[in-house]
Amino acid sequence: MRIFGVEFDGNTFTELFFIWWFCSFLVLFPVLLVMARAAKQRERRNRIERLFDETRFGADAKAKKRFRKALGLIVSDDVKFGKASRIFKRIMNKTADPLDRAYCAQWYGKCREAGGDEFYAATFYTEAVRIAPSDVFALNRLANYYHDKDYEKSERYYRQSLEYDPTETRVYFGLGKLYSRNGEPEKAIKQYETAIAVNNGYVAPMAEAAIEYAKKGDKENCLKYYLLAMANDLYEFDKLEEEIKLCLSD
Amino acid sequence: MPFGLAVAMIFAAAVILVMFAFVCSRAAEEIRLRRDAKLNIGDRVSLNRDMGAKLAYKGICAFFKKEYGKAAKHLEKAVKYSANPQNSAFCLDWMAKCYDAQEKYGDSLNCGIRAVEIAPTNVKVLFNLADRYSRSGRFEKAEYYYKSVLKYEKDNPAALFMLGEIDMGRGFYDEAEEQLKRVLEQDADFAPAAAELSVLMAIKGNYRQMGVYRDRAEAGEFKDMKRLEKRLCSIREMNALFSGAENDF
Repeated sequence: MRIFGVEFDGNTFTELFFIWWFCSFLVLFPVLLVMARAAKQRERRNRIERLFDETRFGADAKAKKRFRKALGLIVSDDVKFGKASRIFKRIMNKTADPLDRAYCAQWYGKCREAGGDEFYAATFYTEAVRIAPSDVFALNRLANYYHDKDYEKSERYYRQSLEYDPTETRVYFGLGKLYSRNGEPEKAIKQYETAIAVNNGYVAPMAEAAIEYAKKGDKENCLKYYLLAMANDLYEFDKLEEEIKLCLSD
Repeated sequence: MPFGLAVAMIFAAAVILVMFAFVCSRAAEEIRLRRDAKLNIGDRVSLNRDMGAKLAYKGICAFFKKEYGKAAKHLEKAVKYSANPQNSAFCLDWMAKCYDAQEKYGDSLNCGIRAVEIAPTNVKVLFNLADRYSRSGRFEKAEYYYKSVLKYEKDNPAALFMLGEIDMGRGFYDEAEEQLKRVLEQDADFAPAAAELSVLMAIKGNYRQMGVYRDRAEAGEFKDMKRLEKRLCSIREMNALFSGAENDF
């Protein structure tokens, strides 16, 4: 028989070797595919376990299973936010416990946000906060949503979040950015300093504080926070340097 | 021999060889994993007689297989079976690692705290808890536990280095310098300490010493020399911009 222009009669050593190599490849390829798939499935299960709060839904195994299925749709390579959000909504409608309903509303909001529908996401975060006013995640997302749109609402949600969790440093940072945007540098610096006091290694507020001081023309404090950020191994220090130079030249 | 029969035999041989190689590699991996788990438990521990050790072993094997949820459950059971507080602390420490891998940092910290409460003189447990506090930015607590490590292991280089890092992070540059120099006294080739000292000297404006420690970091084969150089340049530039002083490097 002829393969790629070569005459095969099954007798010579090299021809047999070629056939053996080809057959090995035919067998090895699917085995490697199966192994890679198994590893991917394991990684997917781990990601679902990382996201899922085991304390939710009590003894309702069905709700837990559906929730995990919805999470699986989000963490897979072929992400399906729409389908996942529909499952979250269905679980929310069937669950009696308000905290679990708020949890589902939160995840529905995340799916909508990830799908680019921020307004609808904000609606569901508002719903989550209405059901469970201590839902810090939903409060923070709402504060972020209104960050560029409504200063007062954004500040209110940030403050509300801090009432329930005063150790959440990202909230102080968000408040600082809000005040900075609104032209209140003193308030912004105070929030950044609070964030640093709560989380001593949080580099972003150090960088922002340095920029605020540079805008004010306070070189001493600007340098202090710049060096502190560098001591904490700030990643994008060249960008910070450029911004400080720009602020000082203004 | 007919050609078709030859091909069929070769195909069968290929299948057998590949499956054999696959099974051998999986078996080798499983054996290595179990050996590592047993090493962590301790060679002299009898898994058949000690239920706690058996559960801990299962938990650690599951951890190495990246089945973190399952591992945490086994280890939690092992804690209940462990009569010896050191064993309980060991299991809790591994549980904390499982939660770290799942990014459940709150649970991880709680396990670490429980481990230290049960075995307050266990250096490994103290160090791991200090690390967790350090990663979450609670430097005061981290400092307390690193100093606790030093109570039992004076001049532990890792604890000294982390104390230096924490002091640098909080802006206590003189204290950081003291700690990092102590690390280099213990281990002259400890490149990360030399690198951090060079950054510290740059921050203080002592560029001569900065160069000395930079060279020591390079001699110790510090991994990220390029980035270190950039950091040092950036600090020197900004110092010069603000003070207008000449550097002495």
